[in-house]
Amino acid sequence: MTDLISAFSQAFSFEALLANLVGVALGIVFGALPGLTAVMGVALLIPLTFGFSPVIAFSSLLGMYCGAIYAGSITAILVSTPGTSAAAATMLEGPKFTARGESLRALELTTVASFTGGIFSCFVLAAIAPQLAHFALHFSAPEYFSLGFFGLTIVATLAEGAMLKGCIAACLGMLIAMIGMDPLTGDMRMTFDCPQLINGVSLIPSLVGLYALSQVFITCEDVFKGKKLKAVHLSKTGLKLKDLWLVKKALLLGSIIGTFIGIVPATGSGTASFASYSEIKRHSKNPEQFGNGSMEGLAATESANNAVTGGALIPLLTLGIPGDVVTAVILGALMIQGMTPGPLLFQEQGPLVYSIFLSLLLANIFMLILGMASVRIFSRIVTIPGSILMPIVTTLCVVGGYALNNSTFDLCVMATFGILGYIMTKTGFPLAPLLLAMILESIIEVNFRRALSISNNDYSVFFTRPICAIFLAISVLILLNMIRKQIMALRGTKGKTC
Amino acid sequence: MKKIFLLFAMSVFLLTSAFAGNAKADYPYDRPLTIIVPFGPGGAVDIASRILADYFLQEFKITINVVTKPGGGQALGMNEMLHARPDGYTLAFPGTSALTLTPLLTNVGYSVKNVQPVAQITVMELVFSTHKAVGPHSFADFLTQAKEKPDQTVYASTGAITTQRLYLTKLLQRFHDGMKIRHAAYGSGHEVSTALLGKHINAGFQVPTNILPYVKSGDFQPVAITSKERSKDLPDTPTFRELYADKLTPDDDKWIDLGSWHGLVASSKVPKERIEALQPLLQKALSNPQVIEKFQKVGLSVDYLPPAEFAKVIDATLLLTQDVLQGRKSLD
Repeated sequence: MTDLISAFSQAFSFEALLANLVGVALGIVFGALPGLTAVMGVALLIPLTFGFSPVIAFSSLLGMYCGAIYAGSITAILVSTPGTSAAAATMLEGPKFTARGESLRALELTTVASFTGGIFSCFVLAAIAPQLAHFALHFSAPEYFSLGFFGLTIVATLAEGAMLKGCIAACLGMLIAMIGMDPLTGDMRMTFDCPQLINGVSLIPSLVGLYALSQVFITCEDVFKGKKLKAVHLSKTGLKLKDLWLVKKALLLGSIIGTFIGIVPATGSGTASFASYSEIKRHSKNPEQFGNGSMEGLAATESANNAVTGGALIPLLTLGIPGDVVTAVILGALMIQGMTPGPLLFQEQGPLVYSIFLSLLLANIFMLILGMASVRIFSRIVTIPGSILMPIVTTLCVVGGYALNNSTFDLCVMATFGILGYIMTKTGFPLAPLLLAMILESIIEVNFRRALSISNNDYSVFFTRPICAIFLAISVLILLNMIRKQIMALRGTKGKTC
Repeated sequence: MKKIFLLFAMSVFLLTSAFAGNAKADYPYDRPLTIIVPFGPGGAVDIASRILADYFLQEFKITINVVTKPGGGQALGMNEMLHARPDGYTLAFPGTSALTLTPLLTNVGYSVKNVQPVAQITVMELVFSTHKAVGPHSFADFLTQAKEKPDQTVYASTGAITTQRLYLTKLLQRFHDGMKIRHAAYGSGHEVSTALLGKHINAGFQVPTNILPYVKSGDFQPVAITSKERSKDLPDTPTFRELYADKLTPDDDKWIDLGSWHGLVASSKVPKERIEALQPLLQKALSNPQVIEKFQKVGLSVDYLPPAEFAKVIDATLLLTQDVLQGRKSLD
């Protein structure tokens, strides 16, 4: 109890509150700018926190983490430019709202959903962190493989209506993700003696190119063809309480899936938001709304990507294992502050751990307040004419893409993916499966081969381990169901090809 | 009006003389230095560079810009340093594999010959550990198990070809007739620790930072370490040197204590006297108690070595790598 009181007094001290608020504000800026990521924001903030006491340092870092994960969606919704890989799933529904002039409503829903996900995971973290953490230890290579494989079935949901094209896009994504040094043998694959490709194609520049630059190219084409850019009619209607009630299932599902995927190390918010989108679409009463600006879809992706924050902190604080890339950087910060995350952290640093929980809670509250205040201003961005907005977007993409790794090569990657995205959009290939496959490939391939190298090439590991077998069985069922639906559709249209 | 003009002229004079004075200051005081960190931001090396930069600014009024340039198995950062003007103002802070491994495996555009050592900064020992509840509890027992049940024995390190794996392969070649033990490659030290905590592998071969918390909590059993003397943090863990003391020849001295070293390097075109000019500064920084304390907080020890000594370490590592790989590009 005394632990809790001292934790309260530390987390609610003026300095800590201020640090938290500034962290969230900076995080929103970092997340919203395309190319700048939560990882970078946290990494840049760490040296500044050297001199602070641990609670103040963590208030600012956690604020940055929450703010950045949340704000990636803002630019995704408004200008179709996802700032983070988590925001790629936002692209599925978000921009449709803007096209309808409902950007304010979408942004407010995003803010509330992010808050819900964040708070949910925060309570899970505080309540049952130690018990849950040990669950993560049951995940070995076969389980990761099956989880990734299960993730691939999401392609079926993302590519509905263009299944074949969706599958082709996913295969292309897998292929692109295989570029670089083979993670298990060290052989070079498709690098063509180019040292920049040893670590593979960076995800963020490809993401920005694929979605943002391709959009710019399409707008340019319209302008050259003499098509007049329509000014978007801006509706002042915000989010209503009734709307929230309608999406309650999506919010809950997103929060649970996000927290779960956050706990499992080495996955991340990108996977989480795609997975919860797919799940809610399968369980929704109005699946026809998906892809045309569905409230449920947006609520699910947004609550999931912020639920990852608390989820990812669970294995970090209890076992010293980072749940995603950002928490890996936060681990460094913990050590500078003289704390060793690991099984003993709770016993040795009780008050500090509780004040970290509280800071996370506060960060989510600040995120809600700052978010609600700023989206009113942000939502007006769409009234800027395309001829001014598009060059600004391009500039920000290029600056962000370069700043990520200080690499001009990444800019070439971005441009290449811009052209690829343009061609794909023009020819009716969905972009999301390609990106999802790029994210999942590293989980699937590495863990498949690692599982076999641990079991000495015994394939039975995939069927004898319960968690792994369940995931694989569900995936196969979804696959069969999908094929059944296709056959039914084919019979219905008699002779028409899909 | 005249007064204003006079004031202006005076200030211009003062400013230019100030600049002239600056230009006369010798290397490395006259211009900011750049340290290129070939790893991601927030990692141990990045933080170590920032600790050094902090000290250099306060103590010597020298600004050090720390630039992180991850990717390409450190090759991108190394190339960035080598493409800069070779005047000693641009240094890189790579680890073992950037110099002695990646250039052997693929065409990265440079080799160890293009690089000259400036100073070794830190060495991370390599610790071989098992799970305490599962065992085996000594390195000899692990080898026995590997011999008896090769199907069920697997150890892990942080990549396909790592210093750890090269070291163990060499050790087995030298003392155990080239016995083979299966190896699983993970992406990071945390992943190896997670797998060992979950008892999915039999042993991990890692740097101390990744195992110390679990040794303290009683989950891991460190069975051997690569260092000359026993580590302060792991006083009960025998060194490989101890384990093979009766079989060691002078030739083995070169590699038996090898750890994963990190240090500053420059282009080989940089004049020697500039490298020398940096030594007293680095020496002073790395013997400062506050710097040492900050290093320890991120799990790094301070192991300063001057250029000539550092060069020997690099050569020994290169020799080990070439000896084990024998021109192959893979160990599988």
